[in-house]
Amino acid sequence: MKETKLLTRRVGKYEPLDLKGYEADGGLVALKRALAMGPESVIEEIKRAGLVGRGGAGFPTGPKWAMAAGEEQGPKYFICNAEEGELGTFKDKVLLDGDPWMVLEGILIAAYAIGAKQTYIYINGEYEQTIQLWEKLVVEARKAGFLGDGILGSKFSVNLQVVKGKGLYITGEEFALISSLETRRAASRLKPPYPTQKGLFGRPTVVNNVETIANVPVILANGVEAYRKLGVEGEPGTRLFSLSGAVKESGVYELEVGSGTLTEFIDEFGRGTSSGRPVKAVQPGGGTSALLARASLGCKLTTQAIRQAGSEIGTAGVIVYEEGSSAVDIVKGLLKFYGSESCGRCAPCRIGVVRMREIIEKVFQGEGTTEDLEQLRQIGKACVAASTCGMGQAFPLPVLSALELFPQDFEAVIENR
Amino acid sequence: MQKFKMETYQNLVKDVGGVTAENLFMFLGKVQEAFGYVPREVVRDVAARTGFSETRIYGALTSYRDFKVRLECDD
Repeated sequence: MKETKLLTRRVGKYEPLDLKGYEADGGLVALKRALAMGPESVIEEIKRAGLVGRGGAGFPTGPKWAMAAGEEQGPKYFICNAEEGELGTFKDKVLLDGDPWMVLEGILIAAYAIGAKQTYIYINGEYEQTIQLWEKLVVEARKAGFLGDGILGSKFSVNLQVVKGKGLYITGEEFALISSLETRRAASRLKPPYPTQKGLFGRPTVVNNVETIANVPVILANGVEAYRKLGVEGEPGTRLFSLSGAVKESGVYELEVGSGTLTEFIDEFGRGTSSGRPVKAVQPGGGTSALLARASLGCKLTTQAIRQAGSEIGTAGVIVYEEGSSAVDIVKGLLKFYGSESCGRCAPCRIGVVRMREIIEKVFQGEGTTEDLEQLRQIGKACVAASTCGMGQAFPLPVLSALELFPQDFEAVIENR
Repeated sequence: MQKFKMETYQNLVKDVGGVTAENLFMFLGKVQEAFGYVPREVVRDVAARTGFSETRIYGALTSYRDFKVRLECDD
């Protein structure tokens, strides 16, 4: 199993602000091609490439762009989502820091394709240096004629605003992000209407993850056929996996979709667990994905295979837990985080997450009963079924899976009280 | 971090080329970083510039962890 460097090919190869270095290494080819072929053809190519979103939900990118492009009422907006607040996920930072011009090129192409004049990149407030880098990048790009009026001598004009996130997990959700940019409390909204219909200030808006956007220049520069050669049927290309938790070596690795199994990935790139004890469980798609027990780790690293194993690929943030850690601790840690991050927009999540946190703390302190576990399960299921946005629908999944896979851990705490 | 002065604030406005609904959130972040909080005078001023109510702006500011609406000190 080895890395396939498609998006991370240039990371560290040129000084982040050096446009010449980027251009010398095959940069800007895609933008020039896009401007020559026209917006409709760009969207068509992205559709044919079969690119799906890398931010967690996995929505196809081409159709999303087409929806926004098809709306008549302007102005339209494009937002690059670099909030990256999901637990165990830090892949976007590698691209933002290591190859910012590629991400910028992707943003310009996306804006061109949907007809947006104003674009935003909303960066996690904890990435201070990244934000500073991007503020300088905007100045450089304006000087070089890549932002402003008439990009590369065309009629296409666009601006980019670097926005610093203000420390809320929920702003990674697309409507919460939009609310934030409208200077409102960050909260999700009911869909439809989708952001592509009524997004920022009620206008058609496309929100794309950084990694998704980084795929765009690659597709247009190398061609759809070359791109589709990588990956598996229905999921072409590569994926950036963040590996963390109880492994010897954590990091971000770019792998061809389906090139190996979770076990191989953890053994070869993480060099096994930190203590050498076997793996107990893995969250393959960030903090809101269901736990997979050791027996299920033979699945390939594709959306389909991980779903069949009982979890989701999500943001591809692989979090490893080793034998000797208790599922009660894992669940308590996760609920402690999510318990203070609900936006409060809908009742199941607002109330559910707090109740679940209270119950798990009670259980942890040795005051729990079997009825408490049943209640944890019921509230979790209600949240999944009735919440408005992805957070409420997903945060109970690791809890529910822990109760199912490791009931003995919970019983042990309850019996020892 | 510096003490709030209307003049410094006006320079921030100039730096971003004027405050509008489209850049207000980003701009409030700049104010926060410059003074350590978003002073009442600023809220009043940007409300007038954007047409948003002061209530709406306070509603947003007080909901984010990294925004402060008064100066916090260690005394």
